Amino acid sequence: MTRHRAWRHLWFCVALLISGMTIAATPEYRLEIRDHLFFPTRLTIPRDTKVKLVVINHDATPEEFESYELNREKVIMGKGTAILFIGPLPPGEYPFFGEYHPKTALGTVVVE
Amino acid sequence: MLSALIIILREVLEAGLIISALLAAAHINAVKGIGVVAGILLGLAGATGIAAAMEAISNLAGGIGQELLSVLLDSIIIVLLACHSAGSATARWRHLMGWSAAGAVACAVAREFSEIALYASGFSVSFSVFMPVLIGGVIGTGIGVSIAALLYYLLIYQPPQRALRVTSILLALLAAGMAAEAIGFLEQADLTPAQRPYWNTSRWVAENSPYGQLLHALIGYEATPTPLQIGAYVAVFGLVIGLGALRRPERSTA
Repeated sequence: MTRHRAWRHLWFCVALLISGMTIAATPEYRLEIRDHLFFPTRLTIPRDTKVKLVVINHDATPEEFESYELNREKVIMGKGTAILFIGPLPPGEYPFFGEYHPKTALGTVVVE
Repeated sequence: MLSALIIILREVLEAGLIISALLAAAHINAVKGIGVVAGILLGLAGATGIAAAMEAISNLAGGIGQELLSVLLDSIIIVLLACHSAGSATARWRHLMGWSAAGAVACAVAREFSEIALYASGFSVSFSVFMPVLIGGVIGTGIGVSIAALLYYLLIYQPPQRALRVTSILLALLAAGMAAEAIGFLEQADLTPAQRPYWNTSRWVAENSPYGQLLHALIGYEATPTPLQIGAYVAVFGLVIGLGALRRPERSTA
């Protein structure tokens, strides 16, 4: 293979990689914690899609995002932000809660 | 207070069951259990360190530090339980049991107690806020320790061959549960391919029922595991049990 053709192959691969990354960009959704409550309480995401959740904790104390149905648990430090990935999921309702304040911090991920 | 009780009960139970199973294995194999006590103390020290550094840990590697730490601790426990299993099989490797048990206990206690420490830190604002958490925590710890102690006695008060077999299987299931949990954290951090759950058994045993919680602590029960989790579970169970089955002739007359 001549060097010219090798460069062409390389650029082709790079172009493919970049286009692949933009096509496969993960949708992001925000969840906020304020006064030990989640906002929004119902978050709707598409089915069979991997999704990035960005959880922002406005309280001074830590909270733990937890869900048995989603199989996820993560601590969000006071005045901190945490990211986690959920999905792909079949349609349905997936409750989550704040483990440190389970009576008030409640919400549902609705997959449609 | 009830919420605190339940949260702390769960964490204490998860560490307590591993401690009980390893103490029982030490008893059954006529090995000293003092390593486990050292492991508990080391784990408590590690846990306070983890809780204190949690903010820094959380921000590591683009925000997936917590998951990486959990996967690291789970992996160390799996490797140590595998060494422990090999140690129980042959007299030549018996010395592995002591320090592998100590290490596994240290990691398990570090994991669970750091969660408790972090939880409690959010309520240390004032005494009136902290009191119910403290009371709930003490009661929860008491219940958790009682259940773990019950398991210990259930394991050791059996005919020797059956006690050995049941304890070995339980430790292999604990290791397998760790593996499935570690995969779950990798999925959460987007470090493994994202997969749909393979089945959903929550109609039979719901994960947030008391029975489901106990099964989760004991055998790593998940109602909606992904194929990778199932594969890791089976592989680690097979590995740990297989290592324990490499028995030399002198063991069969025990």
